[in-house]
Amino acid sequence: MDLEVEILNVSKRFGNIEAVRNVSFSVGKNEFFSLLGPSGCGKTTILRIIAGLEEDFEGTLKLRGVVANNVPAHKRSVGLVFQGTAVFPHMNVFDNIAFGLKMRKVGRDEIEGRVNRVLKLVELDPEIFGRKAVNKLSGGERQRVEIARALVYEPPVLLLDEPLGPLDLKIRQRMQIELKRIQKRVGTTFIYVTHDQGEALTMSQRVAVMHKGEIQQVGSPNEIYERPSNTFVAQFIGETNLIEGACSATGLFEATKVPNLHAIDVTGCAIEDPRGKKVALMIRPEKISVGKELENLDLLLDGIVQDIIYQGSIAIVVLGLTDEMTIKAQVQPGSKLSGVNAGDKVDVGWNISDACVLPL
Amino acid sequence: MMVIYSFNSINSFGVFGGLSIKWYSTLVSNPDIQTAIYNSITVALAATSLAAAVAVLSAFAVSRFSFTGRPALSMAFMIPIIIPEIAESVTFLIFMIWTGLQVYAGWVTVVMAHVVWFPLVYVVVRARLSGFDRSVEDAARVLGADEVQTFLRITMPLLLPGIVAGSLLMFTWSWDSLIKTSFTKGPGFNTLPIYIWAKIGGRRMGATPELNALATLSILLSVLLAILYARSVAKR
Amino acid sequence: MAVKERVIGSIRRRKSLKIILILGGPLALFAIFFMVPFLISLMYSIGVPRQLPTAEYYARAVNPLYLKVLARSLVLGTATTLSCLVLGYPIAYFIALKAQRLKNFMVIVIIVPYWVSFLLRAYALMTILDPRGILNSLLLRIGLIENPLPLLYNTQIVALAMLYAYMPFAILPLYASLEKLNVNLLEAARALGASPARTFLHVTLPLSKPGLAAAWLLTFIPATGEYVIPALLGGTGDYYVGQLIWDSFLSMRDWYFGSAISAFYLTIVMVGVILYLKYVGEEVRI
Repeated sequence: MDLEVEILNVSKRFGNIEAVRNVSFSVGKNEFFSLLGPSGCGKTTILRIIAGLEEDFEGTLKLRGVVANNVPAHKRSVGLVFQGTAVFPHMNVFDNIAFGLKMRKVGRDEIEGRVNRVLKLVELDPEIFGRKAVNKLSGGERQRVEIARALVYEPPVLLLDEPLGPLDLKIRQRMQIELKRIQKRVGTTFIYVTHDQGEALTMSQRVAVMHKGEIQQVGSPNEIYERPSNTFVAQFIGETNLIEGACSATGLFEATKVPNLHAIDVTGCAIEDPRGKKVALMIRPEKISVGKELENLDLLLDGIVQDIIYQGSIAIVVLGLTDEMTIKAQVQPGSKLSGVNAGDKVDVGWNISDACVLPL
Repeated sequence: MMVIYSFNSINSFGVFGGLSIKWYSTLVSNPDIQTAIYNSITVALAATSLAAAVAVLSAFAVSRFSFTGRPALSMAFMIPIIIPEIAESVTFLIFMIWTGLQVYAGWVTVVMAHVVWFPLVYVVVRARLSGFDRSVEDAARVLGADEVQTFLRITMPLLLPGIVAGSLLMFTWSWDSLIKTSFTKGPGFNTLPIYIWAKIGGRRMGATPELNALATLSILLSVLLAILYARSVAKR
Repeated sequence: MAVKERVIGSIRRRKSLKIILILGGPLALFAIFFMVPFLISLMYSIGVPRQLPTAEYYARAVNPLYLKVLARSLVLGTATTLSCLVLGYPIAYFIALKAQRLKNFMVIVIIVPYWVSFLLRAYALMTILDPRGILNSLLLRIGLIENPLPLLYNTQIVALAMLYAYMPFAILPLYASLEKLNVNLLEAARALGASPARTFLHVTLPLSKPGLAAAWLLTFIPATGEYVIPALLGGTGDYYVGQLIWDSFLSMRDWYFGSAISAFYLTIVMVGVILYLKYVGEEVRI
């Protein structure tokens, strides 16, 4: 895979604060890549470094294999999209979009053609929107103008900084599909920054999870979800249950707070060698089975139903394994749950292959 | 209360002694007044343009870069408009003689002296810059504009309303300036306030019909400008 | 071409170079046309170009005659400022908080007279109030008075004219400050049980402090140094610092003494301002 963007051991401080600490990852051509993490984790800083808006940093940035640390922003061939908030307020739609072309000294006739084409790409009718003043547009329309503006000069990489943040839910969902469609159509590499894990998982081919300036894990949405590399990723993505314990030298897991959970061979489901270390057993709620009499599962425990929360197609069952330890299971309400009420004793179980052991 | 004040000023054209346009024509054809007005306009325009340029540059530098002595410099910039005009004008006069600048006495020295009032524009521009959303500049830079282009095509147009507001004030100060201009003009050069002052002389004089006509014209002009301004504001 | 690129590149990287490029011109201008004259004037006040440094001119300045002039100016300045604030605050308050629709219009009404050259306005006042002027003629004709009123050329008219001239300087900063006031705060105060008077005293007034400080600065300092109004409209007793400095330079041609007076006056005024600002507890944000 050709590498479009490479970040190698990049660190950046602002005063005393280390915003980015030794981050490395690479993005391939035509890839839809997300940087995911909570606010303040450094993802926007990385984006700005790629764009050329942050100049003093340690490490190496390569664009298409060429070191680009000192290349000024206006010479890099990247596109940058915000939340529709950075459209030029003193220009109309056409001039906004044409700006990048004008800077590259493209001829007038060609500009007209390309602007109209890209307007159609983002589904804004050039007839209606072409000469409109920017302050008369809705948030979603402004967003599309920004995208069009960044794509019109066909940069190989498009950087998007939480673009769908301020939009209403329905519009956001529609725009996610739109963006995916545009990316496939144009073939541009997308680097997408967001704090919304649902967004990152739906749209991306690969995701880099960041926390406090460091990369926690890079992988496909499936990898990140099923095989998180640490407890942060496990908890940040979706719902999960974490059971603390330790792994013996022989590879047997013993939970600290759940007496019946011990002597489980976990060597098969850990990324790092867990032997002799403190670990947590991670199991996703939908992998847990609940019922009066369960069979054919690697692991069976007793649990007391504390609460059942019906959510239509699924139900969340809050189970107490001990007085202190509760876990959540996600089940389909059906025959297994019939007759089960709060306070009942039930069987709880899962298969080892569905679980994961993470370092503590 | 404001109405009374305006009324007072308007009253001045009651003293015509029989309505006739004679004094208006005398006024217009008076070469001294013509020169004075011409000088006032050119001086004010030049001083305002220079002041605006200086103000924008310094406001930009002070708000975007950090350097030692920044707060002190920022406050120092404010001084020329806070200090009483007389005190400041005499220093410039001394300066003129001392550096031999008095050979240029007239238009050049007056403009130089007026430019010192650039803080009028500086303050406004500075205020606008501090609330400025820089993401439009970031966008422009990534789109291919270098720093200078970004400044000229993006930052400046967005600062323009502030620059205009400050410049209007600056123009008024320059146009109206009697004290400073008197000190720095040298012999033979007149602006409108100086001409009027000379006509009024010391105290105890009678009304000069020409001045009355001038006063009336001024009032009409400013009312006209006010109406135009009000219209343009209302349109938004 | 490559050379130009390299030069631009190195400028781009060195922050200090950028600063010099942008700030250099303005700073030079500021220094040359403002600071240097100041320093030279200070030198003159101690008599330097002509002779060795001497306090001779300052000594002359401290003469009771001149001190009286200075004191009179300070009084005039304070009186003008106080009256402008007292009268101007309600107006600014009204426009900012009460007159929703007409806000812009009212601001324009205040500014418009200001556009007419100030001299012409003073002149207009003179023609109206002159013994042979409109007001007197009118009153005589009606029979209210028997002899023309000596309305001009006395301290009262000077004070009034100062008030008239400096009002906009007081109103505008006050208006700007009051306009930014969060009305919710006032409503909250009322909801908490404060009467309108107390709301004003404890909420509105303190919050408009920046505006008050600015209005004070913009009125007091120029007012103490005012030349035109006392010269045109004042009587023989109305001799103020502005006129003193003017005459020293342009009539008496005693630049040394004039510089001394000027420096002395400036110091007093600035000290007063600094003290005031400290007392008010304001940090004038630049």
